[in-house]
Amino acid sequence: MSFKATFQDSEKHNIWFRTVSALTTVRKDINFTITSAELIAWAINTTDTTLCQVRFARSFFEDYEFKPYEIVFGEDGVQIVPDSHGTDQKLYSFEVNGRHLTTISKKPDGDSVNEFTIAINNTASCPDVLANRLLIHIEMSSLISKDYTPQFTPIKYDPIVIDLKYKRKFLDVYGSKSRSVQETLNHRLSEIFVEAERELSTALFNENNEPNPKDMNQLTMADEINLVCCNQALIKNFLDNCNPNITEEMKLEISHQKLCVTAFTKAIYGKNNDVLRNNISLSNTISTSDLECHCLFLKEINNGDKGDDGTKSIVFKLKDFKNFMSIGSSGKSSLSGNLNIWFCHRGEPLLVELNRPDVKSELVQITDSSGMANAENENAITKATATVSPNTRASREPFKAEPFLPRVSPLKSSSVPSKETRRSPLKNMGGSIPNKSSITRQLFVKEDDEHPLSVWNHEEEELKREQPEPNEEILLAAPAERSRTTVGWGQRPLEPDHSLKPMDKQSMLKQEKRKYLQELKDEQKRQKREINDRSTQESQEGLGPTQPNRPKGLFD
Amino acid sequence: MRINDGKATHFSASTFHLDHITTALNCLTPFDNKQDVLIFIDEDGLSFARECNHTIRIQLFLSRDLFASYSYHNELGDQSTLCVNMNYLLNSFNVAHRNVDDALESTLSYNGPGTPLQLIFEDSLISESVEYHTYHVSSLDTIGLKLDRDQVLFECIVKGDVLYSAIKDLKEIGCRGCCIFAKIDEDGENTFALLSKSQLGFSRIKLPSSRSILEKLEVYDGDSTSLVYDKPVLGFFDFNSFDKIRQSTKVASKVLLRMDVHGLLSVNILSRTDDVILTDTRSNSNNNDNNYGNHRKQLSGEYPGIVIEVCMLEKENIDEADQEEFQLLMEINELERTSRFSKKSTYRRRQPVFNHGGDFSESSTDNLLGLTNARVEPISPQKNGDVSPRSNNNEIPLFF
Repeated sequence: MSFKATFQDSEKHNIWFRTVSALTTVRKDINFTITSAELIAWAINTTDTTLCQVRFARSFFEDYEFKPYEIVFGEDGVQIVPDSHGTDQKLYSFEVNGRHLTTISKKPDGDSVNEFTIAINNTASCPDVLANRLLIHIEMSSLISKDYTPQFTPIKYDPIVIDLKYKRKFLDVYGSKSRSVQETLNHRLSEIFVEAERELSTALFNENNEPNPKDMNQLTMADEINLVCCNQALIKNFLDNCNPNITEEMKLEISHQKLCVTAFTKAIYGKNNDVLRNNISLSNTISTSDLECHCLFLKEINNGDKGDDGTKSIVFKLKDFKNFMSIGSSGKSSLSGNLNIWFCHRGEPLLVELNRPDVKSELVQITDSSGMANAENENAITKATATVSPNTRASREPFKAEPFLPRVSPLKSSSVPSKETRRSPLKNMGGSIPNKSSITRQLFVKEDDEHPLSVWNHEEEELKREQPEPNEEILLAAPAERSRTTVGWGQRPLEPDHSLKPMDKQSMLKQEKRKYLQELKDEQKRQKREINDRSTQESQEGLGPTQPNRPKGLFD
Repeated sequence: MRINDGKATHFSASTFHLDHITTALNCLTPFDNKQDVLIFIDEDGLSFARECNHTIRIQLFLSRDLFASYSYHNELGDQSTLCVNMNYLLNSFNVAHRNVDDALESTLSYNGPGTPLQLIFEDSLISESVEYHTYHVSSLDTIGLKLDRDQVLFECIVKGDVLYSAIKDLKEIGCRGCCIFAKIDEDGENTFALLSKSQLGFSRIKLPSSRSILEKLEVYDGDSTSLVYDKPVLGFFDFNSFDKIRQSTKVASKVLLRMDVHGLLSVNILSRTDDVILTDTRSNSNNNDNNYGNHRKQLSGEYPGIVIEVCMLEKENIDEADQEEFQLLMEINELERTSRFSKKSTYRRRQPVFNHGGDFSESSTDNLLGLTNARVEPISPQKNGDVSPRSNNNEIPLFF
């Protein structure tokens, strides 16, 4: 036998069965990879949006043998990969119909499994009939013995190493902190650090494993990574009440004080605002003191007004998450074990890990990225007038990564006095802050306002016109808008800087730029207010000029 | 105008054991409900018979001891026969059975050809009476579906629930054709397995060979007397037909399977709540024509339980390739077992000293992989030239 693995406990059989059935819901053909240290069962769905992977360590099995050098048939599945120490590891991977395997692995009523063995022959002495077949042998407690031979296809293993990437990122960002405050760190957190280090050092397929610890001042938005670690019972209890057919999505929001888990589905409106489906949401709020630990990547802004800056949220599909959670426990076994959830920005994949002594399960899922731009800008804008894309301002915007601990963080107490807020280089115009009044929209300028096109040559005229008609300021807006290639609309506050004289092109341009940025900011604020009202996650910036009234979007 | 005038035939039986009768009658369900069931009534009890496509037949016997009161009086002969639609009968019993709050007395009565079959269900408050039209059948065609007792190939007694779970497993994997494999060895190790080829490929469910479950397995030379060792008997069946006995095995305590040279498999099911009495069916050959099964003769004065007999014919067109493959696969098992045994113990080419005795001591863990009980095999590199040793009786080169 080139491969044989046996386990004998009925609880292990239960875990095996739940693994296989959860993987089958991801994709109907599931894959296995055999190494000398573990058996990895994994499945990526057809749209490449979900990866579910369960690793059974060698110690899970009572009997485990792997002789890759004996494989003669189906050698397409053999791979040789150098590990971190330079020795070559042989892997064998194959793909099996998940439904068949689920049927085979199902526990029959009134009977339990005494011994379950998976084997592959494919050696030189393998009979034709058994070539490329997974040999499954089951001994039941009723002494019935069953043999099955489902067929498999050898494949190559090309893993998605997001978990390693995230752990490397995590260590880079928070690792320095952990070293500096070693003795006061939450023990769970230090366990996680240790475990992550170990995994990174022993993992195969870990090419970019260069530790790159970042100083606090060097952190940028791109380095964002958050961790939430909690007992799986908290999430499991919540999920037991959720029906993925009704509540399709799930949102995790974590802040200093609480973790809010929400299962929701958006309303769908048809024509004429007919409600085709009502929105529904179900949420649990858990105090962060009930969590094992969490690390949030926060920006600290010097005015102390964190606002909603302290809340991280991430949205993803509920169905795969629920199926993944079903692997971890059954009704009878205790709901112990901790769930580690790692996420970065919205839109970037979510990594969920549930580790047991011999079974490590992980789920990687893409998340909803809607509203991400808003979130960033909101967080960035305080009272500053300008917002700039954060990536370009990396050097000027120090961020703070604060692992939040159950007790007062030593980091917090020694908070850096002032951080630079995001400021536009244009800020040194010194203009006063425009009012944040709401912006009305006007589709077409009135006839007598048509000469904004020539504003550059007629600034003064325009200004005079502006004053008697403060609500129709598209005139003034027009040139600025054109400069950014969109035609905007909306209500502008009274231009307070009309008093500035003399008007010339340069200062006018600067003013307009400032107004434009201000408008952007107001837009975000207004939309954010709408979001808060409607608790939807999607908003659309800048609807076109042909839509004077903000229409109801599909997900509003 | 009635054929029988003035109570020439009178039958009436009533019982409180409605669930028992319902369970028994539900065993007839897989046999094509829409058709008619034949009911035989005589002094000893009621019999229900049903035949499908002339390839499979079931007969169910309810002894008179089941009934609290049983009266049968027929001037015209020993036995009455009638046909009634099976669906109606099953429906009545099932519907009545649902109301289990109160003790329900059910009475069957029939007054000869031309009269309806009447069912009366009575409890303390409600009395319900149902009549079904019947018709008379003059001759019964059972030729072809009767076991040839003189040319039995194998005989096996197995526990009912074990067989039931085996058949259920086959159903779940989507089996299309199954094969019964029976073999005995000189050392007393008997093999009885259900093999199948399905979408999953080859599967095998081997019933435990311990005496408590596989009480008896005998393979004959075609003459029902002389035992043959090491020669397996394979019977191929279409799984849809074979599956029809699943419902019956669910209620069974013991199942007796016999197959004759003509390819007829006879399945006798006895369902009792009390102890089961084994019958030596070979010697008890004075069956009456109605094939009640032999059990009732053994049990006088006691209720024998539900007695069911199913006869089914083997598949007519047995794919030669399939047959060989099944045999091969069962033998591979032997091969694997012996080769592993020798590998584990000696790491050298197996000596001819390894005879049946040595090999079959491992057969309690008989399986496709040649596994033995939980022993971690040390991984050692195989020499390239070390060909897997083969057992004496399996010399087939399996590939190349």
